[in-house]
Amino acid sequence: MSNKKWLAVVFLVLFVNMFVLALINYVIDPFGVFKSKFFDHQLQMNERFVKVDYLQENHQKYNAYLFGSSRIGVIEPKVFEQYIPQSKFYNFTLSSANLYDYLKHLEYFVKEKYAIKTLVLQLDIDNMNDYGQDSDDYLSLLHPDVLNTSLTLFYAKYLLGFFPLNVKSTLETNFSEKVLKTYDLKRGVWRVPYREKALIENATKYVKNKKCFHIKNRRVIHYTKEFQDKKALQRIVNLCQKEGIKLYLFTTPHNKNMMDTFVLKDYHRYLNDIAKITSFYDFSGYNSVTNDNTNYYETSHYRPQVGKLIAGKIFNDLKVSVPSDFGIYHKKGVLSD
Amino acid sequence: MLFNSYEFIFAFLPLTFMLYFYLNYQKYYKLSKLFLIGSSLFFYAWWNVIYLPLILLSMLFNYRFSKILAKQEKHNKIILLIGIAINLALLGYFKYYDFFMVNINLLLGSDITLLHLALPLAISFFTFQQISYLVDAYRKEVKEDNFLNYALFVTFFPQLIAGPIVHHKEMMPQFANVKNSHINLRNITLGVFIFSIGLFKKVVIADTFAVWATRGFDVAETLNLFAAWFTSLSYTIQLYFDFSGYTDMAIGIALLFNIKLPSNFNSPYKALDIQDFWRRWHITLSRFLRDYIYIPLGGSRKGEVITYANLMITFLLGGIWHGAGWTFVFWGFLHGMALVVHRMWKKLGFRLWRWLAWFITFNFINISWVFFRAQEWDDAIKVLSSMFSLNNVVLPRFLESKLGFLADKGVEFGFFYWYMEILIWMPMVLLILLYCKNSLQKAETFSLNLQTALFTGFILTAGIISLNKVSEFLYFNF
Repeated sequence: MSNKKWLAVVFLVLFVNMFVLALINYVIDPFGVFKSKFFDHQLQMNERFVKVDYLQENHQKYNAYLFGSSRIGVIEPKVFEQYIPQSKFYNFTLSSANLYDYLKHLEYFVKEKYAIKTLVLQLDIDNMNDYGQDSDDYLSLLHPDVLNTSLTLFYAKYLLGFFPLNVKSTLETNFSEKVLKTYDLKRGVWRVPYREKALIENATKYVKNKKCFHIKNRRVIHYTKEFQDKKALQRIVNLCQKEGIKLYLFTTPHNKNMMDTFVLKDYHRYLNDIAKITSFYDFSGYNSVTNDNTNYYETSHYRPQVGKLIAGKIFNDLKVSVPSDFGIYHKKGVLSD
Repeated sequence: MLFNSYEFIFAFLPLTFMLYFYLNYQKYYKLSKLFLIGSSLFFYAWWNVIYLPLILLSMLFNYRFSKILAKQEKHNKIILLIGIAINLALLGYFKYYDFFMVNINLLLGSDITLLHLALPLAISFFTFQQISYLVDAYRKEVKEDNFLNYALFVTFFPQLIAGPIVHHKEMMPQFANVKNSHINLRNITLGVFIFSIGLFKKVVIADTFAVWATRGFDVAETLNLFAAWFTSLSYTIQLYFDFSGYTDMAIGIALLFNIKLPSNFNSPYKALDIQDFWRRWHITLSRFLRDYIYIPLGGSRKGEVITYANLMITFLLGGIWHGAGWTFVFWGFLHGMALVVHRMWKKLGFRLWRWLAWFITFNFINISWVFFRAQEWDDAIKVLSSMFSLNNVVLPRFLESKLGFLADKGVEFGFFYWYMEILIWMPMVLLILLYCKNSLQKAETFSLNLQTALFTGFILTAGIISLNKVSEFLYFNF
């Protein structure tokens, strides 16, 4: 075999393989970035890209945003809209988000002149203990327009990447009768209908069968990488002030079993750091909402009814029976012990 | 720019290759050289353009000094020492200033402000390469009258960032050879073959183990016995495949330009003793340490005690070259000690079974890498304590029904999540490490046939489709 022939075979194999892979990625679209829509259900999607892509066309329909990690993703926009006249909320929940995501997107929205009157920001210790973007995580890559990078390169990455598990799970979702997760792009929320139904039918049984509620956790989660996050939070607060955006900030009501994983001294420091920057509502800690497992799908995500309690407390709605131990308002300054 | 990135593989490399050979084809030899230097500097500046002036100044300074060394007959040693000192001062300022100040503050109770400088990319590599050039110029072994040639020797992009650390005398004759200015299909074939292996080693193997190593070191305090061993072995595997993968890619790319870089790895984990290991691991760094530190110190010519001291000094410096931290110094100390013990052992004429010699050597290397990887001293101690403690044995939950009686002995049953994946990968990779030919041995026996073409096509595909896990090379930090 000649050198030329050898090289031709190598590049032919490479080309054929890449072509087949690109075709699979485009048709199955496991992250929803190509909008190819050959399949009805999207088990996972790159919310950062898909939501910015949607808002680029539709931002004029909204004037208020809910920012937070996936944990805020179950709160219906109307829950907050009822308290703020003329408000039109979009739930801009992003899985595994941190302050980097919130700051980058807020800056982008302001730069693009999106009309924002209200921002509701949910924080949890994970958001404040990590900063930046994981370039390996294709579920979380930011829209290139937000970062001012190349859209072509972005699509090339999704076309030529190897995502066997994501492809498999997208196919499984579409050929299975159980739809585990749904997204509503117009409101920005996600739903887990199968779990919600099981909880409505028999919450006690659901909780009993869910292993994560019964594991004995150890306090191992520290708060040590907060430097950039604190700076980002300060910039968000400043940007809101400058642009006349009303900011409501609250902490996630973590399930008690999740609270058991936090090193308490560090957790208190995290709350203190927020208080040094701005006023906020603290829904975390052990209280009658977080101690009740039926308020949660698993230890990480609360159910929509908790969102109603959060909004009820923030807007002091007496029609909503918010437990007296749920939520404390902290004014800007140093927290007491 | 990373070798394992779309922009490098699909844009920078093909464009540089085509334009370089086009200029040579048109007989613009000087221009092609200038173009290659410009491309290399662009490649370097892609990370952070702010350090571009630094490498340019460093090159200008060393070139000028080498000219003075070449002209001057008197006081050459003083000029050389000044040259080396200035190079080391530059390295010291960027890499070691904070480390020394932290320790001075600790010792004297002072409060000297730290600089928190970002380490300029490749500074350790281009500084060492240029120090070796100054020494060679002092020894009258090299002479360079053309700054373009000198700049090409330092900046040639395949070896600029993380080696191999090359000598002027092994590079410049190759650039000067007119034959090398024309496309050579045999070198392209071999280059593509070696590059593909390197890419596969880096993005498929090293980056897979990187996830487990990082996860383990991030939660060092909670590791159980098995998790701690998996963590340290994952890093041992990651480091080798990461760095040797990078070197293979560098060698492969250089071959496309008809340049043969020296080999840097020769199956180091097959080593049967620590001396053997250092003949196989980062060979060009070992060569540098031997030629420019160990031998000038007297090597083994001044008696046993001095030899031991020289070994220790060489490896302590080797340790601190890798990073400004006590964990690196201690890693160097461990290797220096191991070489001293090995030398004594050999003198006494003792021998071991081959398998036992391998087992001891491999485990020593694996354990010492824990200090190399740990960010803090405490992390290293935590990982090592977990590796050698029987008080924290956790077995997978599915074994509880059969081995439940061990619970009385303190054995716990719990999650095994990521171990299962490691249990599949690790034996495969260990078999490759111990029983397969390494990439350069494969290149030596390479033949043009359908089998090697398909093999290359598939590993290249696997490498390219794994580029979504873009990650820097570990040795970029050193």
